[in-house]
Amino acid sequence: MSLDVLAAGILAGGLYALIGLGISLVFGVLGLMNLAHGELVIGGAYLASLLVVDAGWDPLAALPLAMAGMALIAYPLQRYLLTPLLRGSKSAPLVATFGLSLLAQALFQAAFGTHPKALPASYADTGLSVLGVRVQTVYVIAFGLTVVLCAGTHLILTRTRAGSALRAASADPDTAAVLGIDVDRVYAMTFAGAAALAAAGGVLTGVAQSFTPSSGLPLLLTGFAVMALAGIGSVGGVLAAGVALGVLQSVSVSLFGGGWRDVVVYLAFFLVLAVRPQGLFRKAYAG
Amino acid sequence: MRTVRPSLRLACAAACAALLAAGCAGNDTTSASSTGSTGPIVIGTSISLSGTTVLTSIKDGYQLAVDKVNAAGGVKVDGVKRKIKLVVLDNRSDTNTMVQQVRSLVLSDHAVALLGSCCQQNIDMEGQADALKTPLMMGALPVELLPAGKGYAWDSFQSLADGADKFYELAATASTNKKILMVSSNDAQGKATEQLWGGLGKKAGFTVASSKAVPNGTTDFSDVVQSGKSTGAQILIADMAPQDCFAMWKQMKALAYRPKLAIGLQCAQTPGWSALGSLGDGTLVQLNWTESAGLPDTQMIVAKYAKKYPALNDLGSVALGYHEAELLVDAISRSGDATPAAINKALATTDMTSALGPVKFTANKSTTPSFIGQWESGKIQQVWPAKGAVPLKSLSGLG
Amino acid sequence: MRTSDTALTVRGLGKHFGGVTALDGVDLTVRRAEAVAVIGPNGAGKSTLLKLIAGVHRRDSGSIHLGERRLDRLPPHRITRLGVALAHQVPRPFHGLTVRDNVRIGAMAAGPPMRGPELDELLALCRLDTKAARPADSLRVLDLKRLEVARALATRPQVLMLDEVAAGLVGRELDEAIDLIRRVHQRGTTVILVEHIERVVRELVDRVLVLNWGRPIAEGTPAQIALDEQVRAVYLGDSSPAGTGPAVHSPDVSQDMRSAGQDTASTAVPADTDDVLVLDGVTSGYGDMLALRDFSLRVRPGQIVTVLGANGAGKSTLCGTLMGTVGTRTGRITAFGRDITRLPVHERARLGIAYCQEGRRVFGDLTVAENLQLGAPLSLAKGELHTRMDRVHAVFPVLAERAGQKAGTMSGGQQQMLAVGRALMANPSVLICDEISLGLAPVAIDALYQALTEINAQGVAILLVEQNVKRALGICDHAVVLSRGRVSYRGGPAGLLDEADLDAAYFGTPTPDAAVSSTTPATHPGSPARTTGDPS
Repeated sequence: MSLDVLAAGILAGGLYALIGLGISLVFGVLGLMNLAHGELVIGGAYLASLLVVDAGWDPLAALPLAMAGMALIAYPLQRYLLTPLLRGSKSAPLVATFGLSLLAQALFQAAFGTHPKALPASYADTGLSVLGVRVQTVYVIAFGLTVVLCAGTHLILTRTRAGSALRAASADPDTAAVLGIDVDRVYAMTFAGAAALAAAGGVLTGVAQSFTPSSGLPLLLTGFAVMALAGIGSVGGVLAAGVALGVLQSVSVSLFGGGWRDVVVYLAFFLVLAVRPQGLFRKAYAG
Repeated sequence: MRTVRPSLRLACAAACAALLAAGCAGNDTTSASSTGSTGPIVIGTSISLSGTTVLTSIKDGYQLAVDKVNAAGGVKVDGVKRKIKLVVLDNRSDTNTMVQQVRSLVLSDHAVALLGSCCQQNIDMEGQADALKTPLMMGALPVELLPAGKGYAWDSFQSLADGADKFYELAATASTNKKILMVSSNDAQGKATEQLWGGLGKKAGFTVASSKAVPNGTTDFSDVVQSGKSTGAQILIADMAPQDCFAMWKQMKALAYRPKLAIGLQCAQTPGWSALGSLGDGTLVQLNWTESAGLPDTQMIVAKYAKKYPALNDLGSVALGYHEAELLVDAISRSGDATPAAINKALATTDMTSALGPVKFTANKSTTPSFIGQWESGKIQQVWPAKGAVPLKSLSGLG
Repeated sequence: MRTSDTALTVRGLGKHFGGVTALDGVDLTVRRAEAVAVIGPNGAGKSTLLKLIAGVHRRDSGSIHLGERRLDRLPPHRITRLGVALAHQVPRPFHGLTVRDNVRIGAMAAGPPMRGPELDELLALCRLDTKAARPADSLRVLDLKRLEVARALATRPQVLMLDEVAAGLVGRELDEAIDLIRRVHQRGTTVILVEHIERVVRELVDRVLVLNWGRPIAEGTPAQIALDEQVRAVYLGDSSPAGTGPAVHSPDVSQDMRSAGQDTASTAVPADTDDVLVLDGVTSGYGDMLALRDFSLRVRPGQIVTVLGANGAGKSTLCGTLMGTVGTRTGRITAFGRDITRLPVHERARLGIAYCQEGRRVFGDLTVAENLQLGAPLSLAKGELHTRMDRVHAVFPVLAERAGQKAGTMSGGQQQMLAVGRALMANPSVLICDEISLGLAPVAIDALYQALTEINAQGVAILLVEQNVKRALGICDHAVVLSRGRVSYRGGPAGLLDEADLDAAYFGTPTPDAAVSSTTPATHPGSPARTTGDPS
């Protein structure tokens, strides 16, 4: 095992954290397991591809627009579809997000075809040497952006009044409503924010890797693993868990071979759930 | 017509009365068997047209062959020209759906023969064809992978061994250190490919310097890249899902691993490979058809579908579908009575030249030729075998 | 004491949950075929006592015997088989099964399966024979309660424990429930009741045990208990004088009485845009249970109106209905002249209605300052926000001292101040306080009531829901006493200062009048202020 492998694991973990953050946010605040999160990620990548592939933009320039676009799509979905379902049974919104996931895959397929797409950028396949360690430029950018987005999310949650309204709505929606907080709107804003984070992860995934209409599922699973490791409701924990997952993957591959990667990762995952069901890094921002 | 109708109605009423309630619901088109009449001969396919696998190009090839026969008045069976009706059902990449659809094609649509889907679904479909005693003509499954069955499934496609041999023939013409880095997915197919390609490589005078198994969905290949660099392997053989290949190619370039030859099995043929831009240039792919190899009906296929399928690989799939359907139609015309049993018998004695070249079955399999192509500026060109090929270029994308 | 005549003996029973003492040294002896009631305010440990006997929880100290058999070390199913059954306040039938199957499954819990005739007899006893084949989901509340009792009886118990089985029932339904329990008792089954409804206790049992904070404070016949000073104090809250509080206001009693008379004569309250809150013939509740029936109330600007009543009287439902957390079935709610009956909760809050919920409900993981800021609209400018915070800090200085502290780490009294302060941040026109003195030390209550007076002096109307009668009457302009969802008193506080009047409105003490009214459900003709629409 070399430092290259370790560095690659840490940097890949940044992208995992970015994808896990949105899932964690929605689950922490709404108590909703969003099975369509992978499609929000991929949707961001497809939105960006309209600007990058068709109009020749740089992916990083398209990124804020993709984030805003996905937020605009996600807001009404939560406000007018998922929130009314949340009032009813616990399983209905879960099933609804699964339905949305399938619907989104069909839409992607119809609009963009099934062939893999990637977002071309000069930094997609260039490398950097830092202290003798060779790393992929796009992952460095992704990691930096993840840290910025995590920090931003954390500051919004803890330093702004909107953030404390969100934490209040998460902890006790009834009381929040009594205080004049429009809980439905807070929920929709949270979902939109999570979608924007997902879109950012999607654009970076598109640059570093590739995407097809059906590549949302593995991303969802990765995000879920990050959330479970981090514990619900901790931004710093999500970042740490993402990095831990990335390192665990590359180290296990380098020690045991690629065939054992998932075995090692999920073994660690179950171990964590058994020993620390609240997650490795739980530090509440809500609840 | 007007004078006929009352009598038809009478006849129908009489038949209904005779059968009482039992057969009354059946209308006369479906209740009439397609055999022993002059109506169209029904063949069917349950193919994946949505979901994870989309095989529209193969379906178009099927339809192309059927349309061509019907345009000529149909296929002559027992001295009578009969049209062929192709029933296409989309199994949405789901095996259970496929099983249901195959049964309904045979049992309620009265299909006398079936056309295949792709890959694992073809293997699963073999059992259905055997159980229903209905011939199944398939491609898109390397002939080595068709399990021994009861003789109703027929596979005419490339052979894995032949494909690997073609690659090594080409690789021998390039100047490399003959060291191979093998990266394959860690499923059954990946392991089989690794063994086959490794064994044939040794025979051809190459050495496998490093072999890595990666799970589907791997995004971090730093371990693979490192082992490529440390062993100095100049030939990369990657057998993975397309997304994994995309990520690995980017990472190889970024981490400055520079093999001299690289082939992407299962992955680099996708038209999406062009999205890699210049990074994809020089990557080698396996092909089952090229427009430059001088195969029969090339002109017609290009003329009809080059616009819809600009990518060579998709056009090759049209040719594959066309080839399968051609073989089946040929067997129907030689069957005498267009019954499943007779068609199955006729398939065994196939001796013709299809869009993929000469075909003869041995133990239900026939091998079609393999080609090696190379990506260059968003297009694939044949580089091996030498006939009809352009010269091999350097692996500029990773250079 | 443990003779053959004794059905159940409880000795020195104690139970802690974490640091909270739920029961401490409770003794109870129940004779065969006796009916005993256990009463007490919320959190007194009544349900805990029943659950310890049934084996649902393990005791920490003491013993429980059924006859000669020791129960407190046995698992619940063994206790059930020995003949102890528990029926719950909220029925939990198996959904999707018929009434008969529900009862039959109950019977499986104990001994040999119940045969057809025995099952039919049980269903008939519980008046469920005509509904035996219906799915349990289709039952209305009274029949659900009957089913709950039938399922308990299906285990052929010697001792039947009923945990507030009559809760949520009124009028004829309540008569039916009482009748059912009486029939069960007359069959020879020993009955232990936990009950809030005074009438159920009075009509059914011979003996009452009163618990408060887990300790027995009195035992005797219903009549003795009704006269017990200590029990009265427990139910009416602490009776220490509000030293720093204001003297009793001198409201215009006669006018209040007139308006009360109007209210009962007709539910139509004339709309007046000056009024802060008007409820007009409002009925509301949860699921099948109506906790508030045909209720009318008016709060005028600057007024302090208090709503009193025992547990389960519908006080919290009233608050929830006003705020929109509980849906209104019929009737109309108007705030500042605007119909808000169908307005969502947060929009009511934005109209200027602030609500301090029971149990404080501060956000424990947020700091004190964050909690306060949440009370103000998000769009409020920073300067105005700080002005309001300063104003709240002036009323509750402790909230300034602890601004950066997590709210969950503060004491109960401080949390209650935070809850009130948070409500004030909205700059409300009316403040609804639900049980703000519950569980607080007298000194904390003093501070809170002092603050309420200051808030009121700034022109904020207050709707004060209280169990602490003396405190509430000490500051209000107008008082309403609720009894099981209906108004039993409406008028100035002076009308309740006399203990007999208070008892009558509150407990429906068996004065000769009340005894008559219990058989003739009619309004008292003699007292316009007391509207015992439901006999009590």
